[in-house]
Parts: sequence; C-alpha cells; structure tokens
Amino acid sequence: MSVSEATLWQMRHLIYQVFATTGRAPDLPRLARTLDLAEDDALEALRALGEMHSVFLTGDGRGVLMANPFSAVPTPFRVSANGVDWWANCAWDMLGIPAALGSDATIRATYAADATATELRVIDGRVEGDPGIIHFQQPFRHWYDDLRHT
Amino acid sequence: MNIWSVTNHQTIGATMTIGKCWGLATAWYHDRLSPDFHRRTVEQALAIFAELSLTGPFWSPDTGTPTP
Repeated sequence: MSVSEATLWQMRHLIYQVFATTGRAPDLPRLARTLDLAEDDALEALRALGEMHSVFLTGDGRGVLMANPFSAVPTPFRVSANGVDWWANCAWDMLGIPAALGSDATIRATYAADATATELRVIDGRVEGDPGIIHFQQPFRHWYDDLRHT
Repeated sequence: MNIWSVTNHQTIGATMTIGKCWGLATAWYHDRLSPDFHRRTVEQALAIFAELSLTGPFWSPDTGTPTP
C-alpha cells in the first residue's frame, strides 16, 4: 500500500471531524484535497479503512456510508445539536452521537414496533423524555459480520 | 417486543432501557472523535460491558472477532 498508516488515521479523523461539524460525510475529492493526496491514493486509504471496519463504505466503495455513530444516509434516527442535524445508524447510535460530541442534543426517532415517533433530549449528560426500550438484535459476536444489518 | 418479534419474523436479542443504553453509548463513544482513537479491542469492549453489567451469551465474543 502506498499510503502510510499515519495517513489512514488522519483520514479517519478527518471523516469523523467533517461528520461531527456538518452532519455529512466528506466525499472522496474532499478527502484527497484536504490530505494532499492524489485521488487514487485517497481511494486506497478509504478502502483500507473500510476493510478495517473503521468506517463502512458505499456499494461502489468510493464513499462513506457509515462512521459509527454517524450515518451518511437518512435513517429513522435524527439528532440535532448546535445548529447541526445528523442521522444515526440505529437507536444505540442516536445516543452515541451526543455522547461522541459531548453535547446537549435533541433526538427524534421512530419506534420500530409501531412506527410512532418519540423525542428525547440529552441535557447536562442525562437523557430525558419518553421512556422506551432499545433492542439489540445481533449478539456482539456478529456485530461485524454485516454491520449494515446490525 | 413479543408482538414486534412475531409480526416481523425477527428474534429478540437483548433489550435495555434508554437510560442504560445511554450509559453504554457514553462509554463506547465518548472518545470516538479523538485523533488517537483506534480500534477498540475485544478486552476493552468486554470491560465496558462488564462495567454496565451486560453479561451472558449475547455480550460474549467469538475468538478473533474484530472490533473497531
């Protein structure tokens, strides 16, 4: 691989920083430009991160689909904080976003059981709002078999 | 959960309150944005689960299962 391990971790950090500040995943040209890489090298690094499960890639392998807890595509789990909106990958990740940000947040989600909407708030490190149950379907030993389903 | 399980032909895994999940989310994600964050080891994951009293087969790994 022509890209150094240090560059891989720089790319990972950049992906997370862009997600955290914009609510969106950076595209490949932005990754290449910011890290001063040729686009082919940026693609190689991105795919290496995908193979390591540091991030999860789109079907064509050229974009970021997920960098847990952040989703690049719409989901039933919406988190808002500091004027930014994010999609979370799942119910755990909808709590993971404010945990990662260290921020108060408003969470809007849809219960899978009956498709009703719920709203939670994270205030000063506590979760408040409609009590509910979070369901983990896949046991820990399978979490990385197919994280898109998990 | 039982109605959902039957209706959607899905097995029930593990459930927890939102409050407990917040504890898990905080332990798991608090350092995710750090430039020094690397893959969490199985041992680190198990330590988080143990701290939250998440035990039993659902929270146990297979040998060699990678974790981010």
